[in-house]
Amino acid sequence: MMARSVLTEARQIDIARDLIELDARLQVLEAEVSLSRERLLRLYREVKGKSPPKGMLPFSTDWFMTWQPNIHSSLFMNIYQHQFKSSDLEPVEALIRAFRLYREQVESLGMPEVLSVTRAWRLTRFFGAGMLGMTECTSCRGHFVTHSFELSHQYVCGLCNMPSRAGKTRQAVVGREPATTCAAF
Amino acid sequence: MIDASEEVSSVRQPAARSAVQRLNDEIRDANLTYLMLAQQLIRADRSEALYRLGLSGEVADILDSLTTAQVLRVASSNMLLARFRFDDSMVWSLLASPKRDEAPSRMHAAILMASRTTTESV
Ligand SMILES: [Zn+2]
Repeated sequence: MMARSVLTEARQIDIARDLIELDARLQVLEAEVSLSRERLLRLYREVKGKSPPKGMLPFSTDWFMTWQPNIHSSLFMNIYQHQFKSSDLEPVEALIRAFRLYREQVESLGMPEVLSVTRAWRLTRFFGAGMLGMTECTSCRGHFVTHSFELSHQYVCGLCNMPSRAGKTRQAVVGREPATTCAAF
Repeated sequence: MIDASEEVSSVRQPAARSAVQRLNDEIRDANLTYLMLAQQLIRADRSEALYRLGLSGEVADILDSLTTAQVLRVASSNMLLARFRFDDSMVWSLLASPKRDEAPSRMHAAILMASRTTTESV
């Protein structure tokens, strides 16, 4: 009994540390591991050498529907669903693994990380609540994050049907937009 | 005339055989490299390996359990064991897209590859 609780706690600390290393917000840690707020704050300072940023989490699903965030969210969610389905991982472990694979992928493409781990966590929560889902693009058969009420028989993704803004100022969008969206988060 | 042609064919035949042999050696090397890489990935992190390799859990477990002697035996085949995972032209045309369209095309390819991998494993 005693030994098990120590092991459970060690596992919780591992998960918390992984999340902190990926720059998760304190609210994510509090939701995912059963360690006290004081211990999480101490762990955060030990890992990052500073206090966690303060502020509210965004509650809207709309951010995930905008062009560039949608593409990044869709990449992440495909990876997450694979990690979740192909092994006996807890949702939070699948989140950590999928986010690392997402980060590796965008880095190898030379792209900025548009999705933060906190956003990614919210995304999985929105999926769990049935507010967001995956819809197959009728043109490329890729799976993309959409509102659950999206009409799947006529859905075309943002990459098959690129908005003119994304096409024309692509380099500017790729270079600039994440800086503002990430900083705000 | 006749002597000359006989001489040519007698020279060519062993050469042709060794070309086939060379191709078989290269296939065996590719098989060996693939199997060893797969084992290495599976042993380092199973769930990540399933994603990177696009293998089912069952096949991954079999590959994981192979001894070195078994790997060598399995690899020495004249059939290539690994094949292209994404067998639709869209993924390949996106990956091979011209440089100026690179960023969105490569992102599109990454999403399609991840989508196909997710569908395969379910
Ligand atoms: Zn599409």
